[in-house]
Amino acid sequence: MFVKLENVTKTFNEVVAVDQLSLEINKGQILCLLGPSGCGKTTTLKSIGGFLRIDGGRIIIDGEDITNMPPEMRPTSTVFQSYALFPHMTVLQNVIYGLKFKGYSRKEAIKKGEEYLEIVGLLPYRNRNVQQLSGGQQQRVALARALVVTPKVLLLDEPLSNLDAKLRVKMREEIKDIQSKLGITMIFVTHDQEEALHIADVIAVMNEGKLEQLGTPREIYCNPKSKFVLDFIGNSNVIEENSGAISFVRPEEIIMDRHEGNICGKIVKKTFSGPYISYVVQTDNNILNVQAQNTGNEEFEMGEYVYLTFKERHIHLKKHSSV
Amino acid sequence: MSKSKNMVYKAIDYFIFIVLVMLLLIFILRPIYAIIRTSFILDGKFTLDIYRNLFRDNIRLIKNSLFVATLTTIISVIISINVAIYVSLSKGRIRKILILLLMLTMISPPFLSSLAYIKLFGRRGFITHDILGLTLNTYGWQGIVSMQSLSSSSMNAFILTGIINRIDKDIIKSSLDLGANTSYTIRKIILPMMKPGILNVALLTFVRSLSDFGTPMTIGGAFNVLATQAYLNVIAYSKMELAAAICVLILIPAAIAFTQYRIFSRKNVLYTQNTIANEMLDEDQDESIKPKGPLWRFIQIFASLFLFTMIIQYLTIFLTSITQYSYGKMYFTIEHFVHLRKYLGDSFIRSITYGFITGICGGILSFFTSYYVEIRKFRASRLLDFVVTLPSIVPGVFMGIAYILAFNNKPLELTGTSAIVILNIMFRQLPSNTRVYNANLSQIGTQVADAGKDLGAPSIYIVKDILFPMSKTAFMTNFVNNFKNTMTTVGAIIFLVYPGKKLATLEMFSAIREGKYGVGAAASVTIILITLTINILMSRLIMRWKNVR
Repeated sequence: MFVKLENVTKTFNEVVAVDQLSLEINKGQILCLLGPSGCGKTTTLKSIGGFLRIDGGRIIIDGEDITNMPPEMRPTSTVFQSYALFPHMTVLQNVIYGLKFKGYSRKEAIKKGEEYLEIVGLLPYRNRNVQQLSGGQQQRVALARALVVTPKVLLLDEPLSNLDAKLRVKMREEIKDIQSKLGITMIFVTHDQEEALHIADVIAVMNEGKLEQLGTPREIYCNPKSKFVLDFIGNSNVIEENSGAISFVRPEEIIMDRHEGNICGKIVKKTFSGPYISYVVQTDNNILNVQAQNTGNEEFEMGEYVYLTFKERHIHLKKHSSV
Repeated sequence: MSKSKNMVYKAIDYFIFIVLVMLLLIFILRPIYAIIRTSFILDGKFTLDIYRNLFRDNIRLIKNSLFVATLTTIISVIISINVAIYVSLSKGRIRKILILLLMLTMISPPFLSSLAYIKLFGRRGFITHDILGLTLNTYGWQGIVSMQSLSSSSMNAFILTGIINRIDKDIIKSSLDLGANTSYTIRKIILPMMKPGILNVALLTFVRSLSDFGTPMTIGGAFNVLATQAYLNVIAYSKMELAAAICVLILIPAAIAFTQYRIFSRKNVLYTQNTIANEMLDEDQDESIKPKGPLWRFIQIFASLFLFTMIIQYLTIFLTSITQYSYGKMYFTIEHFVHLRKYLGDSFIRSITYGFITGICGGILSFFTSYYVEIRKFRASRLLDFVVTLPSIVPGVFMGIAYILAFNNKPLELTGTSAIVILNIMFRQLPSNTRVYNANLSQIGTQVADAGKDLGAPSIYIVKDILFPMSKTAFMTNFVNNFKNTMTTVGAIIFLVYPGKKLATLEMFSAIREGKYGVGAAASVTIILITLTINILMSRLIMRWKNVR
């Protein structure tokens, strides 16, 4: 295992922020720490980066125990949420700052810095002051600055949260591209499940300092291990079975038809959302959310009676294990 | 990076830290300890006799002091509330002029208003004698109270304006939007939100009045106060223990004022005159706030009267500096300035030199203080922070006398040197300097410092490459403040400066005491011009840096 956390615990004034957290990832993977605010994901990241001293447990990277190392000695580098660029330096000066302490000569440093600026597409901006750049560009400088020191693990603390929706999608593509190009291991903190599903190889869903589930995006989405994960990831219709178990079905996994299907219900609400249309259907036992592709062909109307078929139905959770 | 190199960096880091702590102990705690100790020790024994005597012999002075301070506080608070509300809500030219005049008072030497008072209302005063034909003795508590109120009001109006500015303008707008008129909004929204600020301003004024010896000495006539007594005890009678006891007494209300400030501000409030002034001038008032109504009328009239008084004051000083009376006739002259150049040129050059030294050294000192307390945040940093703020609690007179007592013998015999004066100014300015840095560094500093660390930079590199260059605006702000302070301060350094090494403000004080009003006025004008020049030059520089960003 390339990165390994063993029972990492961190408390602030008796509030447990991270509670006995253990997880592992392989080299070259992107791990997303995902959870609501206050779940301990940023604390975990800061502990790995060395900005917080943990109260218990061990952190191991590439076989080396780094638990007690100061940040400047750790083989990690961080892209901060606020980017934390040095405001009085140019783009290039920012990027090559860390190389000075790796023993690079100024000439080599500039060469390497320019190489990384090329990777993030900012080479033409190298002599600009960082404060003249847009948010997305600043983000790229922060990324290049962290990458250029060739860390074993790159840590990203909600790096996209300051960008607007469109740019956020573009940047996460770029980060993924850069990651696959350089093959670097990344740990990425986010509270945005869509972002996590999109970018991660492995997702760690956290809640109240504890790990709820560790798995691939597909596992997390299709096989949530707890009610929390189910509620947190995606929308779902929870159905109580006669056996006492709980099953759930995702809104996009329900087929709606005027003539055939397993359950009949009445459309009580309809919302247009662009690429898809959401319906709320009242059946005998349940209220179900249904999401239909906006194909431009068929639409259903309020008050209409429809038949529903579940494409897939996940029965994983015992009732008592929930909540 | 190699291990040995790392060790060296660590050693430098510790060294700087230890030096800093030692400086704080020696130049803040030691003098305060010395003055308190002196007030309790007679002939090597602990005693309360000094205080007993103080209360027995000086009960009249104590009463006088409390009387003047209370009255001054009330008047000054009323004036400054009105002026502050006016400045915050009005727009247009009068507002701008008022702000500029307030800024001017910030860089004016003390006694300037006393000097104007003497010229206008004194025995040969322009208004009392020349216009009204009276020869009155106007020296007394009335003069002291008026002049202290006037000069305190500018400072207070500044602080209060800053506080109103921090109120979200949308709160005021929503009050108006909900149908409240201006008077109601002022009474029910603005004034209540200003309350802690008003209380603080009142306490500060009280302390300032108690510790002011200059105004009573110049225009008090036979009316004596405690601070004058403290001054005379040091300068004329060499009764240090009595002076020390008086200072400790003044410390009590000062400590109360400080505690209140701390509770109210949680140290977020920045009383930096420069930044507030710039904000005030830059930001044009919101068009949507259109104050009107009787209360607003009242405030307008009040503020206009204050403005008028200030203009008269500066006009008087200016005219006094360029005119002379001869056989009942007034004529223009540059004689006062010639006199200044001839006899007092050295003092001005000394003041400017000291100003530069305190500006630079004070900036460096406060940078490191802020760095260790605010960014590094180690276990004892709160304690250190408290020590740093101590000089802002104690009045100037206190620190002046404390320095004489602490540094009059070996191993640190500094009395009579330039160093003691510079150190005194520097450490008295340290709290406000550090606050400027804290505000600058705590916003982005911590994360940027973390980023540096993350990239492998040792602490001293983070300081050298990142934090220091990043906070150069704060450095300049502090430089300007320290320079200004050196040019205008009297309270503390009057005790520390030796006759051969006078500073400009002290020459001005002597000139007024000797009745050379023209020279005093010329000195005022020169001090204002020098400070103003430095201010404008440095502000330009700061603006340029900001634009580059």
